[in-house]
Amino acid sequence: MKKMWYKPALAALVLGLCAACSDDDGNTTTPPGEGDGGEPGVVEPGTGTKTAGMYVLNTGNWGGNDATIQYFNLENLSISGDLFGPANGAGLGDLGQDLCLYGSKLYATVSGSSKLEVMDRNCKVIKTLHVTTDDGQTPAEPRYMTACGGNVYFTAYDGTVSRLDTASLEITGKVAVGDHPEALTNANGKLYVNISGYGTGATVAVVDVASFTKTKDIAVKLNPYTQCFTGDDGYVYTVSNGNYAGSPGMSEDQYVYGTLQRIDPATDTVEDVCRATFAANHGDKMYVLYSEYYLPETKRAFVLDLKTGEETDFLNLGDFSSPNAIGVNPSTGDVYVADTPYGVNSTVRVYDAQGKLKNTFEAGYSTSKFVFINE
Amino acid sequence: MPGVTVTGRRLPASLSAGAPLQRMERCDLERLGALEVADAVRHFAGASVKDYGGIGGMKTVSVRSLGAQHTAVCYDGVAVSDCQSGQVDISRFSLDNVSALSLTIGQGDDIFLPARMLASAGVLAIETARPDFGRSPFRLSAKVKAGSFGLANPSLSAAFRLGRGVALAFDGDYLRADGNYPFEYVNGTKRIEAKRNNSDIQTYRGEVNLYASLRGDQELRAKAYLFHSGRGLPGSVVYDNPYAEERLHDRNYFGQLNYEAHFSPRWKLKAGGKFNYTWNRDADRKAAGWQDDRFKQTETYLTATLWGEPLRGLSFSLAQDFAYNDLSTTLANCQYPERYTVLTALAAQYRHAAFRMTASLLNTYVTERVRVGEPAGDRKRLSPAFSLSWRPVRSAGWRLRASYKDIFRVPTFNDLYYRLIGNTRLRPETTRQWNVGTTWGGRISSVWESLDLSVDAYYNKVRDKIVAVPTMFVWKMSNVGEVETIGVDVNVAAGVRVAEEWRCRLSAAYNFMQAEDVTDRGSKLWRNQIVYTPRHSGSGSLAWSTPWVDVTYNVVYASERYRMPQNTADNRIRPYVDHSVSLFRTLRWGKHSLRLQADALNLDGKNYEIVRFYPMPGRNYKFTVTYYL
Repeated sequence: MKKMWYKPALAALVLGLCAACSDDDGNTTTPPGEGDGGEPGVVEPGTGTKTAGMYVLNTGNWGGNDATIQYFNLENLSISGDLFGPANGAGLGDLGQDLCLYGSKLYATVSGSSKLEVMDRNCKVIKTLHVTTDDGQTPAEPRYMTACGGNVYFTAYDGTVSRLDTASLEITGKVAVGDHPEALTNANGKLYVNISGYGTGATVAVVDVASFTKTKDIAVKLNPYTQCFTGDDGYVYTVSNGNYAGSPGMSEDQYVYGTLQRIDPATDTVEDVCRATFAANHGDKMYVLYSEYYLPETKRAFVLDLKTGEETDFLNLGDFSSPNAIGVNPSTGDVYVADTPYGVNSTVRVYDAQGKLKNTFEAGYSTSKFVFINE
Repeated sequence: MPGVTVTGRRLPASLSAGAPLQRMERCDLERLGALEVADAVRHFAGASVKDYGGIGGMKTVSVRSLGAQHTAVCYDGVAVSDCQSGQVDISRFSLDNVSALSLTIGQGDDIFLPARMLASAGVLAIETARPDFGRSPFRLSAKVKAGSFGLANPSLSAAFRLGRGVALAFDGDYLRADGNYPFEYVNGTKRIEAKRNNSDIQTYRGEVNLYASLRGDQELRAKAYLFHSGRGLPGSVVYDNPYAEERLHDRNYFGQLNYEAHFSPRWKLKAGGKFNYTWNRDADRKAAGWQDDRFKQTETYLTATLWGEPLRGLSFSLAQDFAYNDLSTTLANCQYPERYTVLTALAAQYRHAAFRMTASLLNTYVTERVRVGEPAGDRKRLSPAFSLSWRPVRSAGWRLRASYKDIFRVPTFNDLYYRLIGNTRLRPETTRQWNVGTTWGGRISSVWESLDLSVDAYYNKVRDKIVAVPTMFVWKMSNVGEVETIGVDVNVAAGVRVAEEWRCRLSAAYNFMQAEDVTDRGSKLWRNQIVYTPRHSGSGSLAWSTPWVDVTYNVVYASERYRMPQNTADNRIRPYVDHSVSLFRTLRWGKHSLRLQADALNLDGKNYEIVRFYPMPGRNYKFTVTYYL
């Protein structure tokens, strides 16, 4: 069983390669090699600024040791099997939480396995960092990452953000930020960190990158969680998940809806943008998926024009049982949405900027992130 | 009580029953070399034990793929309940003082039962031994069991005859084990050799039983039960992270009273009551800090059943049960639910020399209250059941049987009220079971002393299956699933007498079970085998008695299973075969006897999995010495 574990992935990869072989361009579903020489046998897809490929992170099931990373070839629209298993002879581990492409390397936080994998672009491990509390005794469950200035910063459930030097691959600092920190981003020389408090937090912690110290907490709506990113306009966007508005016994004045908020990194002032559960930005457009479990009538998907504030309906959320990730290809504007029903492999639907369905493909379990290669 | 193996047999009830009934007597249990109830239950056709491995690992029983929450576990006539999870961990029962285990699937033949016994799809009944004094005014037995991975399990039973028809019995045992067994895994091409850690366990168990036979054919039995345990939870094997610090403490006390009166051969009454208190503490040290949760539940249960046979062969019973359950936890947003259950069952049976018909109708009424938030709505339901057993040829031991049962499970307190995931709008999960079968039992020759055979084919339909479903971050318990099961059970048991004192007993069970998801034709799960359900499973046992030693070989098999609803290769759990051998001998001198037993378990030594990423212990040994007076 364990030996066969990655066989379907291999089979998918082989199938992908076969499909690719018939392609005139000779592209393969293998990801691009590293800029500095690359790996033998790796074909560089695409050139210039064109986005030629995308990594897909599949979180996997809790306790299932089944996190995987796949590669989607944007030229021939083929999806590879798991890259990590075959490249390293062992699976990525339990709960792949976040994936970050920075410089020539890929970084993956694996929460259940409590480690951070530093990989080349073929997912071959360069270094494994076991993330623990300071005494080295307790796994600290790394969560999300952001990268800037030659460092990758990641949150962990010991309430900290750690700084990983991408040249030495050593942890060069750690700062306490708050209970159960989740997604984070960087803007204007600062890190913005969602402090979820495991559902009870309502702040975004600000860390000064240069001094690597926490400078303040910004009040936001309840439960800022898996999304905190810097928009193309330079603002920090964060989604608070709220308090399950509409729960039985809750009165309307107690409702805190899922909300997308915008922080101005110059002044650290917060303003609400719109109700949201998931959001992805591309230029002036914000792609939003929104649903409150107890208020089914609120369910909708729309594009918000950040300049005019105009909302346009987008894809039909009725096609999804549980959307879990949204991403926009920065060069084409195509929108990727993963549907992750329980216990089945995810289905990724690809839409053009107008919301027309272009194609679909099947990924691994609980697809949670799309990372576009933007050369 | 001394391990006298009774080989003279009357017709087992399992052959004449209208619905599948399997039973193991004390001698069968001893032959199996089983330490725990779960080890024995694995030998019942159609029952699957979900076992998280090791002595401290949770073990629950599911019948014919219906799920553990549809199996009632009954201890000396009274159901053991867990309103929080709806499933009973059978690992906490000792086999030491058990006299019989039986499994009924669907509608049984016995109608002189509390209403609650009719309220589930299957019933696993655990019966403890009533002391048999003979001429002696007391009985005593002391047992010491020791085995691999630090297992030590001394126990003591004493019974006293206090007067005519009055007896008092004490049973107590202590168990400890390190449980840190080694295991081998392969992650991709990387071999992992490690030991389970944080899997130690200590339990204390005590039981007092008072038996009184009163005038006018009345029986009274009172029981007090105590269970304490503390254990580490090793958790699943997580690659690159062997950390495990979670500790679970359990306390369970209950007292029960059973009264039975036979007014005449045509009228009898049964009444009983129980008070149960369960306390658990689940503590874990994580990077974000300590998590320390406590759970407390109680149950108050009352039952009365009246049975009458107004016309020869035609009997009726009316059973009325009442139960009160409550749960309080230290979790945030605990709603402190309370549940009142009223069950009324009316049953009728007609017995004729050639056939027996049983029909019952159960009315359930459940109402709930909560201290915080909103309770689930009231539930009312009528559940019919029917069974028929027919002997077409009067002189032959051949029977045909058919049964039908429509029953359901009420959502558990976790399903309804657990923090965020609970959903008070759940409907009950319903099951309908159809069974047709045939049995044959007889004696072929003086060598083949007995041969019992049963073959049953069944069809189950589960509707409104309660499953946790994610919808954009929010996981909620929902009624989404529909499952269709088609299966076949085969049981064979034979006794062979080779010579005086040279006997051989053979038994085998096989189960075919196709349990498929039929919720949505367009889904990726359409007609996928449901999780943790082997298509083929079976067990076998071969016991040899010789004048010097008794030898038993046991085997349990399950074909591949899936860990997740989608039947993909990476979800597959490999088939397993578990072999074991037991040897025992009883020495006697005067009034004393001494029984020695050695068991070698999982001879293959493979760390197979019943639950994915919970490896089972490899080859292990046990030695038992029991002294009887």
